[in-house]
Amino acid sequence: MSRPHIEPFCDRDVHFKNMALPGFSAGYRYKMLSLDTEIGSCTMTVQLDGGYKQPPGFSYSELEFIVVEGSIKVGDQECVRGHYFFVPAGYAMPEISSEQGALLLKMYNTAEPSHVESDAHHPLSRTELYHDIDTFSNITWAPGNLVSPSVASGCMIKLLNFNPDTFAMTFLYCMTPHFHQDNISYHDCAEEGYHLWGTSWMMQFGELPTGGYFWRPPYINHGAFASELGCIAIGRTDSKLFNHFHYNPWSTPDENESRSAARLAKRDPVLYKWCVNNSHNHPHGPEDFEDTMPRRGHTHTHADGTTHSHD
Amino acid sequence: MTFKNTRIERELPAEVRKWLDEEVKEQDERYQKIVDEMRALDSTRDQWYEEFFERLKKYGFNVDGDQRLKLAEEELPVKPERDHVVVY
Repeated sequence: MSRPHIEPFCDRDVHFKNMALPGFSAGYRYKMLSLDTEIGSCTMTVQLDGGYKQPPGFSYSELEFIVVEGSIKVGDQECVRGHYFFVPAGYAMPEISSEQGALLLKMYNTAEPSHVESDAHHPLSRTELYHDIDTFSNITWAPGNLVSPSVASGCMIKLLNFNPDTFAMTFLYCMTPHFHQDNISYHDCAEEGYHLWGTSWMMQFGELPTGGYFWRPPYINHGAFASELGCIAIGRTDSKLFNHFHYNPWSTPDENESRSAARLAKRDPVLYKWCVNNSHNHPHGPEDFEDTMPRRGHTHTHADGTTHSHD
Repeated sequence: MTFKNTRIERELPAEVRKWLDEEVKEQDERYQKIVDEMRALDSTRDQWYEEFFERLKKYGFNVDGDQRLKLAEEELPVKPERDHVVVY
């Protein structure tokens, strides 16, 4: 992932552009919020004009999106504000249309936006991962203390998507009116947020209003936090969210990263020593035998390219 | 990201590469605008930091959830000599 630190940014401050990429129907306009300069993955606010129709088809990228305003019809299903979709790469969605128009937040996770007309899924698609839900009506708010140390009372979440391997997650979060939390936080993961409604305040960046957005790489200070009238937002992380709280507003990302490693060394000293000794600190990570061990009934490929089955 | 990390490889058409190049250029401009706006907020932010320190002394620092720990003046950090930025 290589997206710059975009914070704060408000999509209301810029105009929509017509989508010039092939495959997208007329009436699809967008505002770019952040873009990975290496692989083209990106997050965009998308305006579908009234009468818009997109034929059935799939994207080469994994895609998440949520209806921010208005409504869309996905196949026969009418989806209103707050409806969330997780769409694996290659998953063929039915026709998507909007009679009166809609505002969407679209997150292309693994490549640039694309749409290939098709009634069938791509053969490589992991179709079992698809899910969608009306997040406003069908999920209840949970306290924000799912992780420890946790946010203060008044910040609540709805979990929308979770990766059991990396602990990456997508969630709605809200702050109640007069929410405040007096600490500075940073994480070992990248974090993204978009305000569906309302305004929050952070001590480094000031106020983030409706349409406010951030893409924040790891180890960057944010907070203290407050919201006078409350807010609802969608947030994401690309790996495990751990709240490293502190009160030094002048610490740098390098210092924060070093502190994270120091805390790991204190908490898991044996694991830490293993990682830093004997050249075990490969950037791509050590091998997990559960990912590589031969399994009965599975075909696997050897280093010389030969393939066989253990049936 | 959430990232189940599903992706299907393809050769990028020239028009897609051109679109990406233009978007990267525009993002560079947006980034620089943010940096400038945040630089303009420096004196206000310094005041917010001082108000934050006052609250830490009076009400405490949120250690975990609503658990707060009051800090004494001598425990507060000293502003370093180096340039301070908030966008990286």
